Amino acid sequence: MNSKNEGIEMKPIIGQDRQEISQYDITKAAHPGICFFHIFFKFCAFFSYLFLGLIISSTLFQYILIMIFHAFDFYTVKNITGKFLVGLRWYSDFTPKGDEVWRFECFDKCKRSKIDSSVFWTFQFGASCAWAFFVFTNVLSFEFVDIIFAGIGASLSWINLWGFYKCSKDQQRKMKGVQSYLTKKGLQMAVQS
Amino acid sequence: MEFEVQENQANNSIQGVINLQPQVNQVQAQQQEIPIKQTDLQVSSTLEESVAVTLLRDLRQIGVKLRCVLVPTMSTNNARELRNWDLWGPLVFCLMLALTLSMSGNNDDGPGIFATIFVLIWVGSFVVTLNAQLLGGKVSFFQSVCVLGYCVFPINLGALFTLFFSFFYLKMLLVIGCFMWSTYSAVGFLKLLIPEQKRILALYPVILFYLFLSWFALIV
Repeated sequence: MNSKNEGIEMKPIIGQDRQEISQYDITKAAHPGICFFHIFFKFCAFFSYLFLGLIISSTLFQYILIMIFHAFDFYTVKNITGKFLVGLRWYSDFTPKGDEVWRFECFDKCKRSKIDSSVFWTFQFGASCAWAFFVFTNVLSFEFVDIIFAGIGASLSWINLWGFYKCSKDQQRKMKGVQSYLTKKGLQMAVQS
Repeated sequence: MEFEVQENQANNSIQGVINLQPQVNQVQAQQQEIPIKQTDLQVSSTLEESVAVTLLRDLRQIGVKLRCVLVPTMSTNNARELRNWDLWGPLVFCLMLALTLSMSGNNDDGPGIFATIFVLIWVGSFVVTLNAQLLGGKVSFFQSVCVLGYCVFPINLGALFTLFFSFFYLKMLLVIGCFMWSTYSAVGFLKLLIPEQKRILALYPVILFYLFLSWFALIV
């Protein structure tokens, strides 16, 4: 019994350390491939913005590659990564009258883990802040062409971040709504019985 | 009981709707919240689909819109298709046009032309759309940018073909043909959404926009 107790006491402490270290361990995530692509396109965009000039001499192809990576990153995060890693989706739809409506949806069916959502939010927020920083430095140093590409990256990242933030706020609000409704019902039933 | 029913069903998604009305005089969109309602079956099915299905669906929508633009009949079906805007088509055509024009023979400022065309198309679409909205058109911002972007495709074709010919007047004829094609498609969609008296005022910038792009395609 003693050794068992010791084992049980020691486990939480070791588990805590491991948990903090492995919060970004993609191999243990529920969707490792999708986590990889989430990071991959962002990394490609940053790499091509910063270092592609050293590899390819034609600035034209640098520009094209940067734009392609920005577009791929935005599409991947909006349609694929958000759906699988955090179960949220935002898009615009049309009412029968023809008005445009923005929909923010949350989806609980998909198998997800904490690692998925921490990877998603960290890298999205980090990339957005990094692009904003690049825009700022380019504005200060008057490099107009770089402002365009960093600006596009920053605006696409922040748009995605805003969309998913609204989704998650909606989701939290709805969860609170469901909880309060259920507790009210529970209390009512307890009072009646 | 409503929440119990929602939990029992196979699909657990919950949806809230925020309404954004594009009114010209407001800086921020008005937001009204409609209470929670259950998603319908069609929407929930798109949440469960795989990556490949998502990609194919989006590509097919781009193809459908492209066909609507290239064959500019004034049917309501076309108009409805074009209302489901997406900005991927315009991005692809913009990149293609910028690439074609900056790679053609008689210039040595390729990157400059690329950046110029890119900025021109997006800022131009933005300005033309803003103009149409300020004149009282009931046109949503993204829909209009989407249509203007898709209608750049004929100019794209024209620019590609002018790479192969060197006789100037032939190139001019080709580019003029593509310009009229683009303008006819764009005007056909946009004129339905603008009040009668201000139609010419709203459509003149569209014509100017495509004229400038075609001239660029011809000269470069």
